[in-house]
Amino acid sequence: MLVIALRRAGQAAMSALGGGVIVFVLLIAAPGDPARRILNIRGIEEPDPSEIAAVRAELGLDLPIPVRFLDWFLGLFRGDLGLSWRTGKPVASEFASRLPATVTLTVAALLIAVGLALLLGVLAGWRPRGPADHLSRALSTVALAFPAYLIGVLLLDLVAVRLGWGRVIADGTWGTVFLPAFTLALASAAVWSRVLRSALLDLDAAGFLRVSTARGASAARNMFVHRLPNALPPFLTVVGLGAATLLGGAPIAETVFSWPGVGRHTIEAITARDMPVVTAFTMIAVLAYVGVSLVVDLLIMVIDPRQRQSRVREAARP
Amino acid sequence: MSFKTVMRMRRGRLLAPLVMASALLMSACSWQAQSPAGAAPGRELTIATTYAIDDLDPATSGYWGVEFGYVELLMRASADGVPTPWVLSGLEAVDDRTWRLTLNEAVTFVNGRPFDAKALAATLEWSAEHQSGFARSANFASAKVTGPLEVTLRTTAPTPTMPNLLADESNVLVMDVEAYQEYKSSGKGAEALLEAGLYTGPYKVTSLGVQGAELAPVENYWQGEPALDRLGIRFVTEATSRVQAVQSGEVDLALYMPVSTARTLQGRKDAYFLKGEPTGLVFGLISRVTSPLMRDEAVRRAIYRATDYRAIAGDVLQGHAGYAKGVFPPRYPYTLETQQTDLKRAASELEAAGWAAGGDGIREKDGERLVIRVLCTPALADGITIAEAMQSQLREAGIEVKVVQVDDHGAARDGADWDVSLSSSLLSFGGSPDQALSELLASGGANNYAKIADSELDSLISELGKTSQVKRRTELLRQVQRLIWDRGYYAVAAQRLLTVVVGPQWRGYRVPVPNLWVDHKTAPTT
Repeated sequence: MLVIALRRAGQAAMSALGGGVIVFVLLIAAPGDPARRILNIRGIEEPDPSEIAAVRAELGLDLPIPVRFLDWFLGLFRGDLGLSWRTGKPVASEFASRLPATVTLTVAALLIAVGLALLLGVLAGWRPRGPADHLSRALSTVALAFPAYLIGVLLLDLVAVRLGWGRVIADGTWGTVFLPAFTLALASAAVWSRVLRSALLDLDAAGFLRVSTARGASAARNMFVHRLPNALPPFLTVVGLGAATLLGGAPIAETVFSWPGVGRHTIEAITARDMPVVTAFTMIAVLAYVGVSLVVDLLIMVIDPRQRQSRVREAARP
Repeated sequence: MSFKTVMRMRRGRLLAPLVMASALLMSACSWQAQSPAGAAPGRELTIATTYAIDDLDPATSGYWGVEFGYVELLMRASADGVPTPWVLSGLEAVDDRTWRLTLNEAVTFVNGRPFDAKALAATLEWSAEHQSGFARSANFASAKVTGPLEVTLRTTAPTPTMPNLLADESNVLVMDVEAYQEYKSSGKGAEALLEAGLYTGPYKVTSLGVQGAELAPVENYWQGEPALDRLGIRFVTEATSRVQAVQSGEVDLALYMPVSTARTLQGRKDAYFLKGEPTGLVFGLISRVTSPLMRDEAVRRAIYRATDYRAIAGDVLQGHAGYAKGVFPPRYPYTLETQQTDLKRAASELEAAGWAAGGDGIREKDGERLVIRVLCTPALADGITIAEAMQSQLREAGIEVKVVQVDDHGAARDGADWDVSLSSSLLSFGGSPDQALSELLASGGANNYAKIADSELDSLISELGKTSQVKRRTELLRQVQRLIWDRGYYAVAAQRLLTVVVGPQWRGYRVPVPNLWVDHKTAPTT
């Protein structure tokens, strides 16, 4: 078990490194001059070439790219994510002040998404092609068809403006998290509920269900004692993979709801070509993704003996 | 462990997410009962703006303070381009290289120190060293204390636009240089600036975070008691969210609103769209004279003659932009109405230059079609709309327009893939034309990305920079306006107006000139 965990942790580290390299290269290749943008943001609308050159020197943009990458990469191990090109402050401290809000949002979104997915998935799997299944499918289609941005704006208009519930400008606390978290959760809940439904229906022909039914088990007992626990591994896998993508979706929800988190800060950084901030956010997203994947893998091994045995055999292979 | 116990545990695990989701729902509903429905009534103002203020450092973010009432300037920009004294009581030109600055009495910084002649001289010296715009344009030589409230400023060259330079938010902020230097040497973080009391405005920032700022009125403010008990600033990137925040009563004033907002608010009683008057902000158009097509003066002239300026302001931007009859605002004393739409003349000039109409109406010469690329960026609200309007307008003169949208307008302008670009104004924030003319249109200008090189224009701009006499300056500026129109260098598609959305209590808010959103008299209007 320890060997498997270490192997997965190694894979996770390699994935994080690979992600960082890709993002660094993409940002280097992105068009536009960060020095000019930074000067624009500092209120100099038409900077002259000497001002642009001074900012380039200040930010180390005139150094060779390998040197810049090495500086950045070694800094990661010291917890140094560099200085924001836009504000001149340490990225780590800028993130530290915003990360709690993003964590609040993503945790809330995860809870809502899992709750909704379980509800819709179980309802749909209970009686396939019944009213609940149709309702679940319709809700899932709507959630997937409309972009989160549009859903957020419509929710704000309906709930905050017309009904007067909640706030348009959220303050980053649990008291105002519902609307942005719901917006962020909707698409994930739609996918996860369809996965759960499929997993539940796949068990229709399972022998243990026939035995259980023959012994007089009720539909509810069959669902919650036999079918749902057996449908959980595929469900948990997609939840695990999708949970980290919630962090990737946070910038849109944070921007629409003015949520004071890392995501909104990153959108502003992208506009300003503030590379250290963008790279740091991507690293956090990559680490969250591989970290959650690791946890889910281990969790599945714990709850599903078949997976555990298969992984142990795989690990023992020379 | 019994079967029932296992079941209870499993149910508990399954139900946990549902219970927590319900708790979140409950928290959202309970919040409504605990929090106020919107901004509290009374003498309070909450503003939503696009741009975040990072700190109070005068070197990097001080200019925001001028707009929100916690920083002041020596002079104040005006609608007619002639600045009026602000913290100064007078600004007098002794000769073409000497200015006498006189301060108002009893001006103090928030920290209690007086803003006297010594502090003024220090401010000017610090600005000449640290504020690039002032350093570049003011020709600063020295600032000597010549009285308790008087400073004599000397320049190395004639600087006739000194009043405008002192009215520019990027140049000389009224600040306590001594306190700032103490802060810098202390090594403390930016939050220490909240306590430093560096500025002299009617409001002081009491807290500043990633979401916004809170400000309180300054006791014993030198111009009298500020009209508001509380001022809040919220950083809201999305324009839609800013409007919704006004509609829900969370903010009173939303800044930088696109023109399209006006239509969505028609007939509503919870938010109102307001606009200001032309102040120098424009949707400028500049010709890249080195591109093969644009070397032909007839083509450049035809582009600007075929553009329907009245339609752009009135129809395309629904009357929420000013009809540009010239490149400067209508109230400026030297403004000349050069811009006239004349489709027939545009067509005849093109004919005379050898551009004949092709089969599809687009003109051709020596087998080359008359296709121009108009460069614009989504970052400039309504800019793309204008470029698309030009597409249909110029087609009537036989000119095809390709709209080129770029994310980084500054970088694209340095390239060669455009013929006409949306451009900035020929006026600074303080209302001076000298700086933009010399940097944008003069040969070798720092921002002459259009590669304009015209000795006659250079000569006019050069003389303007040395001329203090108002009458001669007016003559020169009028010659410049005629020349850039006749040679097709630069035009203004429409005068941009400052646009805001306000709540019912602020329906009578007067959109300021320029964007100095708050002063000590700003108060609810109903």
